[in-house]
Amino acid sequence: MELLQAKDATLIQKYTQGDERALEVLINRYNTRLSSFIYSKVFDKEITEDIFQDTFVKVIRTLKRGKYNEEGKFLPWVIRIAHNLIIDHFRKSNRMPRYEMGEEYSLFSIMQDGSLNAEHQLIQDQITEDLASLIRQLPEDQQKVLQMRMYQEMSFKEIAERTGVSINTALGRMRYALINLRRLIEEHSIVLTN
Amino acid sequence: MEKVYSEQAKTCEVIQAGKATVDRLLQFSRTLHLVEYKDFTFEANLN
Repeated sequence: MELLQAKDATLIQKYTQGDERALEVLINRYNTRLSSFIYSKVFDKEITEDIFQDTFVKVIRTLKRGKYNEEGKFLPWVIRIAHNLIIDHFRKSNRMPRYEMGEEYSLFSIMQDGSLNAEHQLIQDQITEDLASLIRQLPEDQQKVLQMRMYQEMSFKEIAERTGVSINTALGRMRYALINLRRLIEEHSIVLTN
Repeated sequence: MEKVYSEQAKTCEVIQAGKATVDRLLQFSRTLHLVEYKDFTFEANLN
């Protein structure tokens, strides 16, 4: 009873300390939301169960290894894992999700406003946060060039003038910033897709 | 209008993973053990 009302962070802590009941509470707490999210993308109940299972297998492995560090953000993290598995599923089966359209005109085809839905927004926020923390790990000179180029859309000539270095040096810093970012992403097995 | 909505109903259907799937996950968790050796972590499934 006490476990049923516990917060996610408490349940995760209890689970990592060996209380298997905490995992059962977590799975049951998010079963409907996660299954419905997966089903809304794949439209197949069996595939939904498979992806649901694979998602929690990854969750279990990560928690048991003590590598979970997103306290308080359990659901967005789980949804992101599921989302990546859905992408893998469509890549493997070499097809995209099919939308059933009738012969009649579909209002929904022109009603989309182009903004992200709630799940995608959560995932996008998480990716932005991850990327920002990765950039913060770069040497300061590389961080500056990267931010000026990518976020302020400055030319390398402008960056060189602003930082008081030659264009070649600015280009070199950008190159090393990207190399280092790729290395960090590989090392931490981070998936930056939405 | 009613028909248009009914075509999209599948995208917001509420479903749940079955008890068998949940039980399988709990069983997997109970039997999964991690063995650490130097810098490596090995997984062992002890049924």
